[in-house]
Amino acid sequence: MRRTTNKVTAAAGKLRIEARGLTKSYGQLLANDGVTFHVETGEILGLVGENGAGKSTCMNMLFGHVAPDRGSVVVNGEELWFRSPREAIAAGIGMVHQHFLLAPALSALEHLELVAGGGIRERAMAHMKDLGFDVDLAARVEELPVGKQQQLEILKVICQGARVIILDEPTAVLTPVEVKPFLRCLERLRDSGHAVILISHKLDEVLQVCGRVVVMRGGRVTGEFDNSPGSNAVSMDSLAAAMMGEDVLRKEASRSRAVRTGESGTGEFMTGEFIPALVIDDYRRVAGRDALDLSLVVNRGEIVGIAGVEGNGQDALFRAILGLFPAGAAGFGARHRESGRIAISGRDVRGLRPRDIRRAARVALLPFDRRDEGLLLDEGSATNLLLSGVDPRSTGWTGWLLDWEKLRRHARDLFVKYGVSSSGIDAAVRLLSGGNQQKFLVARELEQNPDLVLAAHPTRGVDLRAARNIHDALFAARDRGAGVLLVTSDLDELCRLSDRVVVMLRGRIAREFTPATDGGFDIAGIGLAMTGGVRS
Amino acid sequence: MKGRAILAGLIVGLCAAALVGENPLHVFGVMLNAGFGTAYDVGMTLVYTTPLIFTGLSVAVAYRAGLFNIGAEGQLVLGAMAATAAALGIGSVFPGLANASSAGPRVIAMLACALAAAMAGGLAGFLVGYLRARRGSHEVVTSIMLNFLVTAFTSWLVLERFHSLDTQNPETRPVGLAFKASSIPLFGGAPVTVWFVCGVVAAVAVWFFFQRTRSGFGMLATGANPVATTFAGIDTGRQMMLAMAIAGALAGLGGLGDVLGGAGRFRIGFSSDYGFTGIAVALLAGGRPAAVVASALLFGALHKGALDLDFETDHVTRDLATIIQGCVILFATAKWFQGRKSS
Amino acid sequence: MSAILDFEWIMSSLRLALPLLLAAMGGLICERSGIVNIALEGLMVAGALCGAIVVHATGSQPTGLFAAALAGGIAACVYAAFAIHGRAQQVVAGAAFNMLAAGAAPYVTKALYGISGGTPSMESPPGTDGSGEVLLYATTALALALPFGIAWFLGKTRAGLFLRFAGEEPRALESAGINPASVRFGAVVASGVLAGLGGATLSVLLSSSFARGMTGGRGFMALAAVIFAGWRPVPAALVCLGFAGADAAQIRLQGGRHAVFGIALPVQFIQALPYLITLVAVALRSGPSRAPRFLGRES
Repeated sequence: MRRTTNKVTAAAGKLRIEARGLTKSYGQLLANDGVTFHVETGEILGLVGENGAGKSTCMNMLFGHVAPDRGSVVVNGEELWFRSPREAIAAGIGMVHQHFLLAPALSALEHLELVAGGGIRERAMAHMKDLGFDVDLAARVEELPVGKQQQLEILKVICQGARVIILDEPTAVLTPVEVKPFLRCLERLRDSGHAVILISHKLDEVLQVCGRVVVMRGGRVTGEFDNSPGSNAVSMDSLAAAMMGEDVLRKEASRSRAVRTGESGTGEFMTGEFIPALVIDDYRRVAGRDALDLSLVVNRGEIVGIAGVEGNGQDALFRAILGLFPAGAAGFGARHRESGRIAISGRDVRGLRPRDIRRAARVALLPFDRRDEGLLLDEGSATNLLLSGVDPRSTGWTGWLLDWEKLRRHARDLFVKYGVSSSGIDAAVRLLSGGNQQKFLVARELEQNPDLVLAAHPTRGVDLRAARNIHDALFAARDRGAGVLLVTSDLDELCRLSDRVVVMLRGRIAREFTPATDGGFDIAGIGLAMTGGVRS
Repeated sequence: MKGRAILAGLIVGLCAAALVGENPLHVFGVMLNAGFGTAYDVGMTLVYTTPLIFTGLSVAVAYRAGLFNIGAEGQLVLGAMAATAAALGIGSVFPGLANASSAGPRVIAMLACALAAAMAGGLAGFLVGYLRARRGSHEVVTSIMLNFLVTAFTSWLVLERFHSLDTQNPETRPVGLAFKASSIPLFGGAPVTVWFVCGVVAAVAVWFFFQRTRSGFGMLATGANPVATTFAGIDTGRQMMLAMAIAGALAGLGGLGDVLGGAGRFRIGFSSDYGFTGIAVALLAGGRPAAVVASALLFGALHKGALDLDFETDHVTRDLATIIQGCVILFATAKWFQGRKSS
Repeated sequence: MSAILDFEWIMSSLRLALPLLLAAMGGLICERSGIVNIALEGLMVAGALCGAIVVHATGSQPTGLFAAALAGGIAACVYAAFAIHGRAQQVVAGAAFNMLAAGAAPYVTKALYGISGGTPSMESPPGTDGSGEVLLYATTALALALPFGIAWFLGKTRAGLFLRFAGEEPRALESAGINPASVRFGAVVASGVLAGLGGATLSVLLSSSFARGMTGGRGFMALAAVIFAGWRPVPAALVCLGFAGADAAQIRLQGGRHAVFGIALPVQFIQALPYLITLVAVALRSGPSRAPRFLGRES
């Protein structure tokens, strides 16, 4: 243990952390260039920026995961170099990641015991009381809802003695109703002698709680705004401008409304009989956590958005449509009682094997987890084209033999058309950035004129520019006559893209929302419905 | 191929030789000479290479779908037994055919036995694949158990049903002349037969299968990312079962060079761990069919080279080959960070 | 049937279970830390060989057992080096390790005794003087108590907690400042010690020398037991006892010619019975079991 621990706990008063000129390169890429900012106990600092702006790299250096090439971290005036996260924690800096480091099979208490030794129970209960948390310590992590898991992660860090807490996109996993108490808890942390660095895309939340906001772009700090009550109010537009260098947000909002009011697209494309892209009629599945009981129609030329907290059946719904059994079963037959009708483009597909469903109808899938569910990471793009859900036979096959020339040509064309930048189509897909991987996936799936598009979090982890491209692609697919079923936890994206919104709760459809006369949705109502509340 | 791993393995082996008091260079010289010294030596090397090509391909096909075919040994033995049984059976029903000497009937006869071997091996492989795909059973454990079962089963067959009438050895009666492939005369009497050529042809076939067919891709995808593959609508269970069936069939063919070639009958214990060595062969070749042939040649030479060690040295036995093999695999896997090779 | 399943059979089962139990417990510790242990067979070979050599040299069985455990631990370091730090494919590394052990054992016996494949019989075969029996009972008692000890260790101690985290979520361990690789290394070595001891019981306590192939797949059976029992210590021990019971019955049956429905059962069938039962057991246990989440994954 470094001597700093004693210094920190001794100075139980103010703790001031400074990043001074942090610079880090990964090969050619200059991830951070002279990043400088500071935070002290008793304040909440917001850190915003697009994907790839360098926020993660900066935080990694701050909490000891990565060593800077130049520059240093200064703790109460003393330059420190952390060789590991443990040293950072000893200095009082702790981090809660976006993807939790929790073992599902082990209990919450065991997680706390791991980081803070036995006998932590008392202290943990005390902290929980201070922060307004309520976690059943005896429960296994897999039994805890996501919001509580996050509370556990924060507890872990606090029990280790951290006083500067870095939170990476913490509200991404919370329902709108949970966000307010969470922000209040941040304020309680602030008022009890801690400092908080809040990394978030949600500018409105940032402006609600942060006393100061630091904006990063291209590895540099491009702005520092004072958001304290006395000063001039910082607007979201100015933040966005500092983030992206152009006034994108406004254009984005006005654009989407024009698209929607222009073409409503129900039945416009069908000459003759009107066949919806997807019909789910009184479909029921009795399956414990993946139970479903709903009816839903997605027309051609329509985007239906599904709102709902993760884990309320959206994943199961996609699997049901695709004929996939729930994750985990070793293909061991339908243990789950199913009933009802699912039809894609008029063809009944419930009960069919996935292969047969793909042959019966053209279904495109943008999966919940693109790395695990959509790509062969170590293969090149041409090979990955073969993994398309729509109809593998339409690209790359001559008879029943593979035609590599055809495939590669197709891959090249897609890269150009969708603006995928990379070192070439032969490079392993793993090497593409998250945004490019997603663009490639979208290209692969949407280019083949599907009848039905199942899109889950289509722009997760993707920067605003690429997100725009993907939205355009979805609109284009819809305009060509596809029906799109969209799941996303980003309510803004949901409202921008959808022609109709349904809310899923515990495997059922709780409510349906149609746009008001001005084209907008009742966001507050949607948020409320997501948690099961009803507006009085 | 993983040159460094081979080198490291050889060095360890030679150190082992030095440890027991033998001059490592002498040992190395003996092995080299025994492997390639005369035409006969080369021939015997090829004789040992033949089953290794088949088992190497077998493991490579299984691995493509993400499975470890540790059962290649059992599949090889079972296939050889099936071929022998078929030959003896046909021979007793059609004695004329059994002694035919013209090419036509002989080809048919040998093909029939090869088919029996492939089916038997394929069935064994399929069983393992089925248990893995549809019941989630760990294929290593089921394969090893099957290996033992095959040993017991073939042992019973040899001793109780097909036992040789003229010798006391634990072997079957000899198969009819029509079934026994004749030796290629280039190798000083070593029983290098058409089955060796079949091995090379099989490698080409597997290469083509990997590169150009739908199943070839399906298996690759299954092994690389079964979840994504399932989402794309490909039945990964089916791919696994198919891969194991093909792997089993290939391994089943591996013993033909012996039972329908060199020995002309099934002898208990004829396989010098060809199945397990096949794992080393496939690994070293990175799962690529073309490299499997070269890798098999290396291990064949190793095997032949080590045989003479029993006689030419006081303290070093043929087990040295096994030691070297084990080391080579260990070193090869350690450097194999990426896991999967690309197509 | 009841003529076979009597007290003699129980004693015989316990004896046969001894190596299985020890190896299975070793395998369980290793697997719970996230490292697949196919190498149990090879570790048993190492222990069996070492035990036999040391007993032959010193005439003392306890020393032999101790040396075997030590040898198992050291051999396991080799496996650990490749499986953990070399990031090797663990299944393949395990198979390679087994191959290495299988080749090295007869090599060593040839070097030491001029016999290829086995060690010469030991001077005092078990049972001729009182100490042999006592040691056997003591070891058996240890092996029977071990599962409970391990269950306690995993559930109630800090080291056990580290071990479980290593198998379920090593990154959490890392963020707590503990190196998962070290934890796993310890687990692998522990498995080597136990498996080595298990192997030694074969050559030292249950017979009087080491012979080629004497482990006969027991390492794999032990692993099968662990998998079948869902990686839990006491159930795994019960499964081992089950396998051993089948083995004991099989040996009894070999004594005479038996018939089922009038068909004579060949000797080979009876010999194959334990393997058949293992196969069926593994096949029947369907669906995903509670494997440690990070089992087999590269850290």
